Amino acid sequence: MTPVLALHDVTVRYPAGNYGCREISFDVFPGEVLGIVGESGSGKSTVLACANLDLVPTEGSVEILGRDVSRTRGAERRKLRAQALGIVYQTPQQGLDLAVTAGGNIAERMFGAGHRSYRVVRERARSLHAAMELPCDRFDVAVRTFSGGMRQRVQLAKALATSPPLLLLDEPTSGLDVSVQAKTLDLIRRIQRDHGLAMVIVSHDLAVIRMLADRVIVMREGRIVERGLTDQILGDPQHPYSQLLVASQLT
Amino acid sequence: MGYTSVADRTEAVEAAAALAAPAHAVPADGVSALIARCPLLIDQIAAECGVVEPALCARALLQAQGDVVRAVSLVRAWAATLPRIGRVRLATAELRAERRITPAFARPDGGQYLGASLDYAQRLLDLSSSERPAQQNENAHRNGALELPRTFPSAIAPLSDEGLIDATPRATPLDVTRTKHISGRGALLQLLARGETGTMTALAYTAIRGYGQRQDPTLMELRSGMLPVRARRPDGEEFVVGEITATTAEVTLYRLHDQGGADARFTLGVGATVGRLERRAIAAAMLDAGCARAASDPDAKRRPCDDEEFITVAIDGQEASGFVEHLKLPHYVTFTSDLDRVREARAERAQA
Amino acid sequence: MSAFAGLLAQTPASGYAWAYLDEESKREVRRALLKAVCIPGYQVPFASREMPVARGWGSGGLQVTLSIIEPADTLKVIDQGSDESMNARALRDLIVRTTGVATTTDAREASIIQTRHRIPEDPLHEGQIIVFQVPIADPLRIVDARSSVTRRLHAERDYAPLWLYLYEDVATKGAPSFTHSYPVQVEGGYVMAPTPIPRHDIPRLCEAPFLALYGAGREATVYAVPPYTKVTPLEFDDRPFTVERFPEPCALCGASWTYLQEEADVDPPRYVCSDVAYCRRRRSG
Repeated sequence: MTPVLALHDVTVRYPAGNYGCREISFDVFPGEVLGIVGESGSGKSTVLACANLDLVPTEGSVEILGRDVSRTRGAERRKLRAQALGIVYQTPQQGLDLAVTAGGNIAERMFGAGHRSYRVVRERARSLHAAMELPCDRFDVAVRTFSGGMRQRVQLAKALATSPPLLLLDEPTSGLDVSVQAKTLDLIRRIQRDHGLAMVIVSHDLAVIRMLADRVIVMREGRIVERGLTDQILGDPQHPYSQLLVASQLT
Repeated sequence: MGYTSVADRTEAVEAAAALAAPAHAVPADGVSALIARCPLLIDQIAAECGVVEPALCARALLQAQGDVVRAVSLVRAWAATLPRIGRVRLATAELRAERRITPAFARPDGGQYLGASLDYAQRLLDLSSSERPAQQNENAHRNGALELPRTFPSAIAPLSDEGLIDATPRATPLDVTRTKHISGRGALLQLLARGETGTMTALAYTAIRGYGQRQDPTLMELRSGMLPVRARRPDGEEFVVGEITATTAEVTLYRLHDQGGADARFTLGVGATVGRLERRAIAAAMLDAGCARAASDPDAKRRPCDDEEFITVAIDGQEASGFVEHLKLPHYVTFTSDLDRVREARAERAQA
Repeated sequence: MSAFAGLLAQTPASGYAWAYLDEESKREVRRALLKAVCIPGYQVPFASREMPVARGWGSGGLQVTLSIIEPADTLKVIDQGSDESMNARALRDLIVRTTGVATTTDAREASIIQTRHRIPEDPLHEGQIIVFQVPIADPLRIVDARSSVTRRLHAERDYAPLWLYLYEDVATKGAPSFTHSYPVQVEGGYVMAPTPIPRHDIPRLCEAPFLALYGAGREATVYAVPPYTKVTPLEFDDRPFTVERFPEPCALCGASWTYLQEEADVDPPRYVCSDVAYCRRRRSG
């Protein structure tokens, strides 16, 4: 079976000499959720940027559905992102145009994929909007007026607009109120199951990882220090750093 | 009332032109009088049209009835189709200054010379009717005015040697009137050299006023005087063809330690202009410095004063004024289309 | 008389090159135009010269016409559809003064038609060239003010932002807000700004028998569409493009298919053809 996403020895080294990440390798298979944990500065966002084709690795390769896509740029990258990848950014402003309506934000991805029928695009956007439990009277309202939790839902709807097999999520609930976090996580879990999506979730919050991820990799200072099933890592961490993380959060 | 549609209304257009034309011919001594009385205005026109020929600029200004923008148009259009026969070189280090000030340093190597400047006179409108003979200023002698003009060592050279000044990227000079792809520092400096003075001043003002990354500019050195112009013979030898008046300015912005780990230092911007136009030179230097600073921080949000692309679009006075004034051209075809849409939208809403 | 002597006899104004521009400038524009014709709809940069007309007043169209015009050409210049408009007259005077070419108000007889904001109502034919004066060359300008951004979007044929703009218009206002200058796509490739011609004229661009050249002096670009090229307005499959409508036919000649302008200084107010020469010819039979 071909993994949806595979990183092989991915290293990102910056001109100043410091590393974003070092020798990162992992696979994500269809329907599987991989969590990446670590504190800020651990390199998890860098890894996500490589998976999203924002960054070109200095060494190593990124494969999507078996194809090496490490160096795609331009129109090809855009097409690939439309077909294969959905991304939910930590801050909604990165993924959405706040001046545009909720429907418009979702629709844009479909236009990028070549859809040209107003009614069809609008209906699909509307059904995604509803599936994310967003109020239907806000469908034609600019996202600027939406709360943080609602904006994240619009991001999710947008990411799903072209039915990609892989979803990348960067700290999807940090910055949200605790009550909203729970609802958002529920939603993410539901769509993952309903659509059989492969997901990569980056988070410093182990509660998020425990709820959503099947497997986990723990990162520290750019490297993977431990990997395994979620229950294993969170229940019985072996590496001292993992033990520190778990102890500080889950007791 | 149309000035467009019917043949027999062409008389209106001709009558309009005749009314606007001066009642008398341009006086024979008009050009020399203008150069003598309004040298700074002539300098500004020369700078903005990029043609250093005071008599031509004065003549254009008279033909344009004092409209600077139109005068610049006339000279630029005249120059546009002339062949370019070669390049000349102006080394600003060779500028023989009649005025040299260093606001950043109290006692620079070579000294400060105020020269002939209105800066130190109060801006009191002189309403006296009779002409008074110019007063002799004895202080001028005390300042060593008789020793000028002369060259000076660079005031920032010691700081540069100490490594405190960002190396400014080398800029390839290019003729923006003959080039397609106008971007990069070489093009920016050219555009600043020909930019509209008011626009440059306004943009530079917004920088200090806070509409941009914090800049805290300091004027390091300002020189105004005579600049030799060198050309090259076919056999390769350089010779001086003449001198023009010019003003140069150097402005720094200070930068503290940044994320890349580089040490605190100063970003340098340079401005130069034809003529004794200090405001122009300073504004140009500030805009150059702002863009250089912004270039080292590509992710920072751009404001007009440090946005190279914005500046490139905004500072050409001809493009700006032409496009603004083009609104005077008939637009009834396009407006009919707008009207149609508005009426249709209202009708649709009324139906619904 | 030899062709050359005839040419000399024609050129009236002294001190100017034939067709005003020096050879180097003409060469610059022609090279750009050749490239433009080979890549329909693509904005080709060129080193735009300062002209004796202000930027925004037709300096681009003028440079194009002056670079392609030949002694045997017949020239028509119009603005808002009228040959007598002051802008059209000024441009035509300059071209004629420096070339001595014949002029006409009959669109069927012109070999070069320089125009601002209209396509003549007459059916045009092969061999004719229309030179459009362009104020804003980039249809993506409404999406982003920066050329650095729009150039990349064009290179990637990424017009999703423009489709989104259309979607937002329809979703929030009921219809596309584009009135004139409706963006068009050339052979399914580049999206192009067709100059501020009304929507009425947009269908004339598709598979047209004439060569269309577009000159933007201030923006220093030219672009072109060769004859018989598919040019279609950006429209959703299920929301067809609509043109302007007028409540009455032309009060002077009775035409109901032309683009009209309202004349309010007569009593009662009336609509007349904006293509003045076309209307006049119809009336004289």
